[in-house]
Amino acid sequence: MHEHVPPSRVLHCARTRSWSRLAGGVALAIFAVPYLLLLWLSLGSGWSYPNLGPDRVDFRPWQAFASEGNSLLRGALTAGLLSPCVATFATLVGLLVGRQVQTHRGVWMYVAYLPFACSPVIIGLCLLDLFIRLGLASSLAGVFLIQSVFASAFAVILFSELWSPEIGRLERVVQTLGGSQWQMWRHAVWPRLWKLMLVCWLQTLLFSWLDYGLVSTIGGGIVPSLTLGVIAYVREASMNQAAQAAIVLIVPPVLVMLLIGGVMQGRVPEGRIDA
Amino acid sequence: MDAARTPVFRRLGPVAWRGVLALFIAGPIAWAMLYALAYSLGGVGRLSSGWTTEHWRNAFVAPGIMGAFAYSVVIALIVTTLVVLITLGMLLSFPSIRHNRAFLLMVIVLMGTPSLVLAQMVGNTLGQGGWLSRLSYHAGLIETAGDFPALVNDRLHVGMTISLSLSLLPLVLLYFSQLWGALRLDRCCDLAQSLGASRLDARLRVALPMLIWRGKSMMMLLFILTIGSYEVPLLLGRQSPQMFSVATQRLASGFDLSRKPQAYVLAILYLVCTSLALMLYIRGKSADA
Amino acid sequence: MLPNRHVTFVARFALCLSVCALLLAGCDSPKAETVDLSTTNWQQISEAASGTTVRMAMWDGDPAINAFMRDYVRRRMQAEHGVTVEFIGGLGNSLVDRLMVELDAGRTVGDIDLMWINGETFFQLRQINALFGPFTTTLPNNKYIDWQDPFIALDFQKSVDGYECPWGNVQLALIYHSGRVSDPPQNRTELAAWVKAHPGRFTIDNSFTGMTFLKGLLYDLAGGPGAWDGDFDEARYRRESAKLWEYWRSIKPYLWREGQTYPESVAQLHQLMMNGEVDFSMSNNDGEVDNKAVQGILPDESRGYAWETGTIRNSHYLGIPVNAPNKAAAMVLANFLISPDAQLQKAKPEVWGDGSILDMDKLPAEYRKQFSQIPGRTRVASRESLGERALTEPAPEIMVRLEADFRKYMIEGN
Repeated sequence: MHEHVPPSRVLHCARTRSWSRLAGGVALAIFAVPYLLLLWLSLGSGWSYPNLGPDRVDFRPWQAFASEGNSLLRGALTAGLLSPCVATFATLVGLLVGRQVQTHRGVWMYVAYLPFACSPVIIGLCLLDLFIRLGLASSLAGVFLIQSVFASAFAVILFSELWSPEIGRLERVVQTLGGSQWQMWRHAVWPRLWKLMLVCWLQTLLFSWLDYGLVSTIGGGIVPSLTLGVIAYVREASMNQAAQAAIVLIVPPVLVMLLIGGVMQGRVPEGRIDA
Repeated sequence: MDAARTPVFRRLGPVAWRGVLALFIAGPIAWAMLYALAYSLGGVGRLSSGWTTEHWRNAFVAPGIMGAFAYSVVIALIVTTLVVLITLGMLLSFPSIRHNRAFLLMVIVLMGTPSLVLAQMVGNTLGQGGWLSRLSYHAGLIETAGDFPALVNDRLHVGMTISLSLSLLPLVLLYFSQLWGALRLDRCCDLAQSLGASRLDARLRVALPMLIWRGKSMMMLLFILTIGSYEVPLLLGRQSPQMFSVATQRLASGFDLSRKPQAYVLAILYLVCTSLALMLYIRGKSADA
Repeated sequence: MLPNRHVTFVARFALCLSVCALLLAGCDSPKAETVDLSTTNWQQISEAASGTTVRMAMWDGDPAINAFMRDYVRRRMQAEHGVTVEFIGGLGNSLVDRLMVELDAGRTVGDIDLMWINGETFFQLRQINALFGPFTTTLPNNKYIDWQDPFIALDFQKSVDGYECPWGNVQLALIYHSGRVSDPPQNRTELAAWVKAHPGRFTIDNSFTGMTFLKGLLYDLAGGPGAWDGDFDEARYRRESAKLWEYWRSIKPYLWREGQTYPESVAQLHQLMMNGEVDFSMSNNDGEVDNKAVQGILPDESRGYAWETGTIRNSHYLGIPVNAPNKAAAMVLANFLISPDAQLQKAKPEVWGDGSILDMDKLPAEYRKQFSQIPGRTRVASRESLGERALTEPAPEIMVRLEADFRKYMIEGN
């Protein structure tokens, strides 16, 4: 294992590493520009050509955001309430159904993938009539339900793809040794599954938080939404408000992704994410 | 016996989970398909005068509809190819990038950025009145914003393609990085090199075919995800032709109410196209397994 | 067998979620109207509205308009009528689409009480019988409305018949950068010469305002004012629109991006002008040039004008959906919005700059004086002067056809 490495190679490796760090730093700086620009634009009003930043740094978009009855704030609060409910429901459906799908692939796998592969806008458009008939259109309950369909499909796929057969074996061991249902869950399933459940919960939370197609069609503009605000501001060329709305929209997902990265980092054997 | 036969889940029973899938997940999609079909055939709709195939016949001669169909497929193919090429290019050129912190941070942040915001950032940066144009102006490279090349809502779809690619890139990068490790490609390349192959040969003739072969179902998934994209084409795409979702939404809520059934023709075409691609994807996955 | 705690837990959780969802649905679901409006007087309508919530659908893309509605209308409605006003985004096609599906699905109690509509939306809503009415004569402030003005009494050549209440009156104004354009074109011949001399510096938006500009051209090609009075004439439209597309093809290569693409909204057109990409913008509201220049959305050097061959003048209206859950409060809100106070506030350029639909001769002297003293209209001629170049809106079918044909021949036919 401890082979001799010539000094020239050590020097070469050190140089390569420092170049790699430099390249990484430069790439990171370029990558950060659009994000920083978004933040900068959100701090002021106007963006006349050829100014690089807003014409006036007066924090007006943020003041408007914090003002009473602001639709973006209501959108953020609604999404903040809705997305954990969708995520919890979908994770439970995924947990209970995903494992079954893994063992009964074929048509059921296809069914699970269907919503995942379909455009939410098109499905929302085609389902609006049904939701109106059910009295669920333009309501939080309706948006919860339709987002849950898509999020649950995603959760089912995630659990069916990543379920480890090892859990089943452990369950049988606990059972053989006389363990109760609770002990089996506590000692065999939970330790193997909690990370996958967390990842699924966070991913479905993100799906709901970032959804545009379903909330715009089934919510009909009556269920407030951040994504609707971003699209409206971009299309009306209100650059500062659009930037501010985008910041509010992306901060939670980026944090969630960093959290997922932290959860998965260093604990996943290469080639397998079996939690 | 298989893992599903354990007591915790036995009580759910085969009927229960199938019921959940059928009613809760397949049910709405099936309803959507039937509703779209009925609407496109004049069976539903306030202004409908009865069942007819007229909307389908009109749809096949209307340039906007068949254009949207062909255009969506072409854009999905271009984006899929581009994303896979970039990913494979990066991994084959710098396999160790998988462990680079800056790279991982970028991938994670990009993954957390919704396509809607990506489109907005691409517009802010690459538009004719965008940040690069302003920098060029200050650098004396252009005299007016109009001198800057059109990269957004443009004829060559540059802005839209960049934005769609960026939104899919993190997923593909992580997938292929994972695949690289799972297939132990480092060892395979080392082995090939120890047997006399050059480094380039080892990567192109050993690693590349294995990555492509194992990653083909992922490519199909990318195609499916791109063909249904909405927010990016809405903000950065051309006005004609348009992607499936944008064209469907436009027809459904246009000034001309009589064209609404054509929106559902397009919806049906999309759903059939996606379903077929999905079948291929699942078949590919099963073959891989 | 031991009870399966997990399944039980999941079942309980699912039950809780379902109950929550039903409660949420219950909270959200609008209740049906309990007052018979056909037999009630205004006093009873006001009483029925008091303490309730009214939901108005409006275009919410302009921060200044949003601020007026939020800071002025909502507060005054709450303070004076005890009515809570909620605003939701939505205009034109999206409202029609929504109401169409609702009526298809037999939904008798909808979500929207009052909506901001324009002519082509009025036509579409009447087509699908989605409007409640007639209701305007019930509104006390109806007496101030200038019903003699054809630009108010007729919406896209259709009599409003009390099914929509006028709210604002505007005229299309072209906007140019006075620092870059010294002699703006006054008709289509001059426009063609100008765009050929300044390639890439002119375009129109691909939505309502752009189509309204095209209608002005169509008037000119068909013989001028009065040429499109009356009902839609298919043969005439085909003949005259062919000339329009021929004209547009002749200038298309000289438009912004060679006419291959167009801004999606007039706001994007303003932005192009602000960025210096084009020298012209336009607005369906003649007062907008002052309002947008004050806000910094248009350059300070912007000036508005109407062509000598005329531009379209029209009104925007308030309509009540046939399935509105709170029609009484919708009427109270509509009545407030056409009150002299609200109209005066709305007409101020720094607030909105929207033209009034009130007849000044019918107003009390104090309001007449205040209206005459509205300051700030410095970048565009007076409404009276613009009115001399006003064209009435042609039949709504023309808008529908123009939109479709513009896409077919000018965008898809690239």
